[in-house]
Amino acid sequence: MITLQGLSKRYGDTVAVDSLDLEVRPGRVTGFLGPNGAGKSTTMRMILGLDRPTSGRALVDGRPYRELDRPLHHVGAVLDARAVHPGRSARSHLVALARTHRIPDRRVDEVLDTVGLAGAARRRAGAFSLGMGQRLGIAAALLGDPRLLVLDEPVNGLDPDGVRWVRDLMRSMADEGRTVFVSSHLMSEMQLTADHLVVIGRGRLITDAPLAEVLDNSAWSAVRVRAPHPEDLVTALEAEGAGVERPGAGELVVTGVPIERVGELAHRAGVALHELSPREASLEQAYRELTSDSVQYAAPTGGRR
Amino acid sequence: MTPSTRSGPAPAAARPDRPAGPARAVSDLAATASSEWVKLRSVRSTWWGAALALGLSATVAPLTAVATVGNMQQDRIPSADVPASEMAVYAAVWAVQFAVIALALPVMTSEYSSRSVHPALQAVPARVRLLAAKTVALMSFVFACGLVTGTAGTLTAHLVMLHPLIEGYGTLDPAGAAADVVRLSAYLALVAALTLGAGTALRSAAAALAAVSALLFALPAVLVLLGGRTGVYVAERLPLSAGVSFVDSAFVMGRSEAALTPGAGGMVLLCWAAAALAAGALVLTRRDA
Ligand SMILES: Nc1ncnc2c1ncn2[C@@H]1O[C@H](COP(=O)(O)OP(=O)(O)OP(=O)(O)O)[C@@H](O)[C@H]1O
Ligand SMILES: [Mg+2]
Repeated sequence: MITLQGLSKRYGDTVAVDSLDLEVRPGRVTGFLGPNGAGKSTTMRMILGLDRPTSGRALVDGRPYRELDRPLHHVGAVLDARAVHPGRSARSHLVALARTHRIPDRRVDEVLDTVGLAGAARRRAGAFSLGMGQRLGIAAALLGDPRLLVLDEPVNGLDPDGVRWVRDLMRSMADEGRTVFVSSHLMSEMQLTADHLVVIGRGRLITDAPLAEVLDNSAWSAVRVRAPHPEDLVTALEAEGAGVERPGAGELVVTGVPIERVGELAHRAGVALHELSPREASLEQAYRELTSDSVQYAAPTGGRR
Repeated sequence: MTPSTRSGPAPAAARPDRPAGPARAVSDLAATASSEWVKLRSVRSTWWGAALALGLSATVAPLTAVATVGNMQQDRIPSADVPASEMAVYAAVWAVQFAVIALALPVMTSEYSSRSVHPALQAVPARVRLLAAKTVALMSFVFACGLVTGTAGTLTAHLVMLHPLIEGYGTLDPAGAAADVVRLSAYLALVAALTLGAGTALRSAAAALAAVSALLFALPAVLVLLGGRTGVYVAERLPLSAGVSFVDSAFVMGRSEAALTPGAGGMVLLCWAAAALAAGALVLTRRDA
């Protein structure tokens, strides 16, 4: 479990992280989202004891990272796929990390196998592709069989097989009761992987909620109704306080009431329905609504001509 | 997406914490030093540096022997015994040490340039321990290199001094030679530690190289040029002169009135290395990685 208490980090005038309070719980995949520069990587560096908070605390299993005994058994982390000496072989990189914890070399070969790098184990890491570097980072994270996984954009640069493999890895780790905290900009991927979402913008917490709740709360979540004569239903819905849009004749988009209620109201009003279907928000839509106010580095809209 | 309710194997149990104390600290330092040794031996710069050190010692020591005896034969300097091992000491100070600096420089600075300092500190969040382990691994390796290159320099210098043209000057006293080789190895190991400390404090190889060169070579040269008793006094206590006093050979720089005794020179050099490492430790623990 990761606990953040009033965690803040300033770099000169920039407030990278602004009094973040958060608990990342075991047994689920917690997605960590936010626009570029929102403070995700900074937060993760503070969790791992690499950067010192300006104020507040980041605790891992109740203790600051720097006080953990044998930290690789607590936390496996990948912040940066290319954080390897370019002249060192993948295997030597891992053996050096393993030695600090007296983890046997056998375990190194095991994780190299797990991430599919056994064949490249003795090649210089500098010659690795981005995806191979990502795999090497994950191998390092798995070395100590940690209870907690912290990943900063782990699928960046991975091929489709690799993406799928990382997704399965995170799911199985969470299902085993471990804590998985993962940042990503790939909303479709997060929608498939995460159980819980933490969204930050400009260093501040925007949302800390289950994925399902985030999707339900999206303005995009709605009920689509087709009916040749919907007038009585519209009246009933508006009396319930639902939002009703009428994109075309005989077509309604209803927000603010569950689909079951729409069906009941239609039945009561005696309105014949040709269609009653949920319109589910994608995480991408929900995310854009949540962060529209905190995007700092946006390209001009309209694109280049 | 449903929250996971599937059953699976239990999470890996974190091992029970070991009691803190000196035993644990020593054991952790040993493990970390073993990790640092893997890092040191798994990059080419280490072996290039070691090969260069050996090559320099095995060429500069005999060349110095030839030049020294030649000067004595032509009465440019007073005739005296020329111990082969002191030719190796000369080579260590004026040539091999550059290879050692090149070898020691990337030990920390490459961690920053490749950002591998992140995984390194994740594994060893006790930053002083990380630096201590690097120091142990590096100094041991450089000391061993010193023994090998010093021996090679001594033997090659001895061999050339057997040549009929310059014969009669060279001496090789095993006990004295062994002491010289050990002293030059200690000197090189301390220079390596000094370089490591500077690299840790400054983080960039270029900046650390500039600082080490300035401290070892430029500063004493400037001070002696300026002259004056204070200048000489200070210069004798800079790492190079202190180290030369420590290795105790008249051939390296000539005898100076103001020179420290070998023991004092060794202490002063040790203090410089310790100060550089302390500065490194301070920066390492205070600054964000
Ligand atoms: N070492 C540093 N020195 C100065 N400013 C920094 C430093 N690290 C991060 N920042 C600033 O802190 C803010 C947060 O950066 P951070 O890298 O944490 O964002 P992020 O959410 O990871 O972004 P991205 O999605 O682009 O990876 C940015 O404004 C960044 O410029
Ligand atoms: Mg980032």
